[in-house]
Amino acid sequence: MKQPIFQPEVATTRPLRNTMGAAVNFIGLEKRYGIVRALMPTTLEILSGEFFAIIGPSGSGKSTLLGVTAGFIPSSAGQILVNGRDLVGDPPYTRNIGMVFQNYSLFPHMTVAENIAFPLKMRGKPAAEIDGKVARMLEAVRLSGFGARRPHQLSGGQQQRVALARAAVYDPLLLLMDEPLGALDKNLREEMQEEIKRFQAAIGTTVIYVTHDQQEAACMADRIAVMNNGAIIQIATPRELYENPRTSFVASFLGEANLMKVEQITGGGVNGCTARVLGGHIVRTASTILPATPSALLVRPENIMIGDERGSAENRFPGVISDVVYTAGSVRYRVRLGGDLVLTVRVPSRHGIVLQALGDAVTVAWRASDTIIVAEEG
Amino acid sequence: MAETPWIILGNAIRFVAVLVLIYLVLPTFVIVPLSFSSESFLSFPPPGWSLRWYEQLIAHQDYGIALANSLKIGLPAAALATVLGTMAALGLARGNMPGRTLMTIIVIAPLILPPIVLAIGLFPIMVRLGIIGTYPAILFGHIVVSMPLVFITVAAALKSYSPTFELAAMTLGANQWRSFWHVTFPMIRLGVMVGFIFAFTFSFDEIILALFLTNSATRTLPRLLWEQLNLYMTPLVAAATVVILCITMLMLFIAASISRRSDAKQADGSS
Repeated sequence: MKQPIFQPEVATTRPLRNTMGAAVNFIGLEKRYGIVRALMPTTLEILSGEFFAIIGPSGSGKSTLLGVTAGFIPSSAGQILVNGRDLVGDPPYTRNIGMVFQNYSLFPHMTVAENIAFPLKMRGKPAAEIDGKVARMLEAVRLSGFGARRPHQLSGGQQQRVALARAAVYDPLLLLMDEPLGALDKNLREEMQEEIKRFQAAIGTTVIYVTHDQQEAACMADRIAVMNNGAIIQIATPRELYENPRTSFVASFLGEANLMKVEQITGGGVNGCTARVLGGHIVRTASTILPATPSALLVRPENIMIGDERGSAENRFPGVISDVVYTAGSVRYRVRLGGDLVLTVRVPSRHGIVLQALGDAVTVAWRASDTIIVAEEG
Repeated sequence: MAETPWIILGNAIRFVAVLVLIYLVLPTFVIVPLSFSSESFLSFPPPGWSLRWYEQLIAHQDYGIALANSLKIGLPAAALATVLGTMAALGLARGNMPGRTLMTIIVIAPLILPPIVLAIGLFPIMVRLGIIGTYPAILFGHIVVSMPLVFITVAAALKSYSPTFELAAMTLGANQWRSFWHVTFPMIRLGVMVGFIFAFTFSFDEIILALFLTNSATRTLPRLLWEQLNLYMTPLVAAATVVILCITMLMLFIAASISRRSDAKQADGSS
């Protein structure tokens, strides 16, 4: 970033940075440990300024992808293009990537201000510039006046804000976050989610955010990649991912899912497909494409009705209530259909609503358009 | 009351612990009254008191030379052991080189093996190299045995900090050296200091290697005491021993207070 010759004194009206976040391209990026592939060849495009989340269970390869990007883990093959420049082979300290760790990793022997100044010092910036930038960063994370404190004198949320400021103060092209909110309690986590989003909007950097919490990813990300067994299974917006998951793994990783294994499927075209699922039930879907691979049907619990007043649902089955759980805002039923098929049904709870009781005989119904065909496993 | 037997047992254990402590410490301190004896032979309890042995100690040239030798050997040995031990700890506790467990065992081995074995092994080597009896000979010997002490304390200090500190430093733009100097070293500094003190204390008290590897010009204080004890059983030896005891205890006291400081720091949120 070139400094203009004349700099205005007013800091508050100035944007925090004047470069845009980098466009990131992974091309065939791969990590092998002997014969074990921790990261399958991965090709992925992340847009400039995008908030990109990677979710997956532990051991799915998401941390490996992050480590390879940061430069801690040498990749086995492929390229990491940041604004077109390949970073593979560069040491972490020349990559100009910011990283926020779950345990904050604030240097305990330095004050908050010294922590934020550290990357600028490493870059040999003049003291006056360092002081100005540190002050602006402290303001951006609402910690002005905390500069002289030691990290351990701050709360967990405050420490994470300092870590954020430290990782962003040198205008990195890309900010990596590895479960940054994992150590915080639920309320603080939600607060910090907004904080991080606000901060990203202010600095305009590209963010790759790794988490195992699908809800956190859905709240924050522009797009989400779901990983399992070292490979990316699907990349989509949070809504697309929830409503049109590609595989049964993605469907059950994001929210609650009723998955019915398909035994036989016919049809296709404008009339949709008709499938016989486990237990011999015939279920209609609106899908115009007949799947070629083993598949399952997905119905989200909130799309299933108990009773069908309007009579508009194509799928309707008799069943017996086998479990009732009241949770904040909704009631979750388990309904046993014939042939040992058990469906989860979620009904919003309103005042005066009469709950079904255990053992009640009911009709469950859902629309063909709410029945999604997903690939089995993967 | 069901608890009564436990209270009795607890008190019994406490009593035994106190006895063991007395047994451990008392013989060491018997030497102190002996050194103030008015008699010219070692007897306990001393028949009378005087400072004459301390006066003799100061006047005795050999003791001065031996003390200087002990410092000339102990300080550089501890310094080198600290540098090498810290490097070994960094490599083995932080790096991921193959055969780390084996390497760790090799580094610690000199501390566990009987010193006499090491002494017998080093002796012909030093003779071969033609440096037997010189400062480098005993220096090498002491470095080998005191390095594990530094290694253990520094490795412990390193393990109490997550390796993500160094990773963080690197993403922030620090190369390996600067990441060590600005981040790792300040965090393990107290462990390194304690390691240095342990190493020096070890060298200062060590006798077996000194017997094999020094000569009358380079002999250390413990070796001189050993030789004196063989010839004269005067309280002069006791007085010299008290001097060693005081120096050693002072060192251990410093080490203990440093350790306590670093523990306290970690307790309130790591440093």
